[in-house]
Amino acid sequence: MTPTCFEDVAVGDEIGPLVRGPMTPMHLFRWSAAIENWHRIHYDDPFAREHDGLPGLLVNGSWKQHVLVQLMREWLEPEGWLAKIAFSFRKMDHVGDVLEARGTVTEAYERDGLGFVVCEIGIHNPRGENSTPGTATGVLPLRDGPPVPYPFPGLPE
Amino acid sequence: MAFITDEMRALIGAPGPKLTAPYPLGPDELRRFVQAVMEGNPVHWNHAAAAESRYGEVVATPLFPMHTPTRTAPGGPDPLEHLREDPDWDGIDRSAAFGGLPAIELPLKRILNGGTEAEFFQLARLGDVVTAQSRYTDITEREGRSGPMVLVKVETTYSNQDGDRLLVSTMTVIMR
Repeated sequence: MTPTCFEDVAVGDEIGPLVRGPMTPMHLFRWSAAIENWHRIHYDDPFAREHDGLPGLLVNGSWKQHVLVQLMREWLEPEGWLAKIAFSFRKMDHVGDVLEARGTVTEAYERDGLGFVVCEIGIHNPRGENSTPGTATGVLPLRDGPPVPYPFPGLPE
Repeated sequence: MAFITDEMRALIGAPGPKLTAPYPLGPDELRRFVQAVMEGNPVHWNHAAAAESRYGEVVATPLFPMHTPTRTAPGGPDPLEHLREDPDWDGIDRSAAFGGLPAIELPLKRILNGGTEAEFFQLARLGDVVTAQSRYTDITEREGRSGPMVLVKVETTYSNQDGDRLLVSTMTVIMR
């Protein structure tokens, strides 16, 4: 459920899932073309196998990062703001995979009249791996507080 | 084996060139991006929905500016010319991988995107001209399972034509 204010959120709340896939070469081709990324392991299957020794085409990390941002923004907006996100690409995701992005609230605190929620996030593939573990920080208004400022001035130190 | 030289360490902290998008952010560029990334929020294409939101007008997604400086400028060198010298070129433009900073040349074959940390301030609007400026913030070397690896952190600040910060990202580039 999308929270409308900080008081709607508790540590342990689940975010998502946001499901994408099954991923196909067409999805990867569309993405590489849209951002003009020529890296062959995302669209040239023989090259991926023979040159890089991979099991096949890889889902672009540059694409997966946006899925994590979507997961957080679908949960936080319109009232909330995604202030920060961090993730690392640890495992490969392949053509044929159904990918499930999800998160959990791990910390929630008030500061300067706003609510802050820290979440663990990740993208889970059919092999039981979290290929893209990370964290995200969202900002929500307090129930009787002002809206989250936009442009956002940055997280408090 | 030590890969990192004093010359490489001396690069840390020095700001690189300002890379400005050749065109203002256009609706068709954004449309293709939004469709490819399967974004469902109408503030990224629908003027009425955007007008009712905090954004007031159609905006790009938070990480969208990261892809702007890597596009080929009109009249610029054709990246596929690399294939003339190396038919097995993997498609990675190693100079673009480092945000226009002096490339870190190492006898390591593979280059990987290790991940990113990003802090968001505002979203780019249609018509904005995005500028990116990078600096190395860290270069470290370690022994990985498949041999030595070098981790390079590149911090990039993305701004609009008014100098407002859109986001600041730190990408980890892995070479091994």
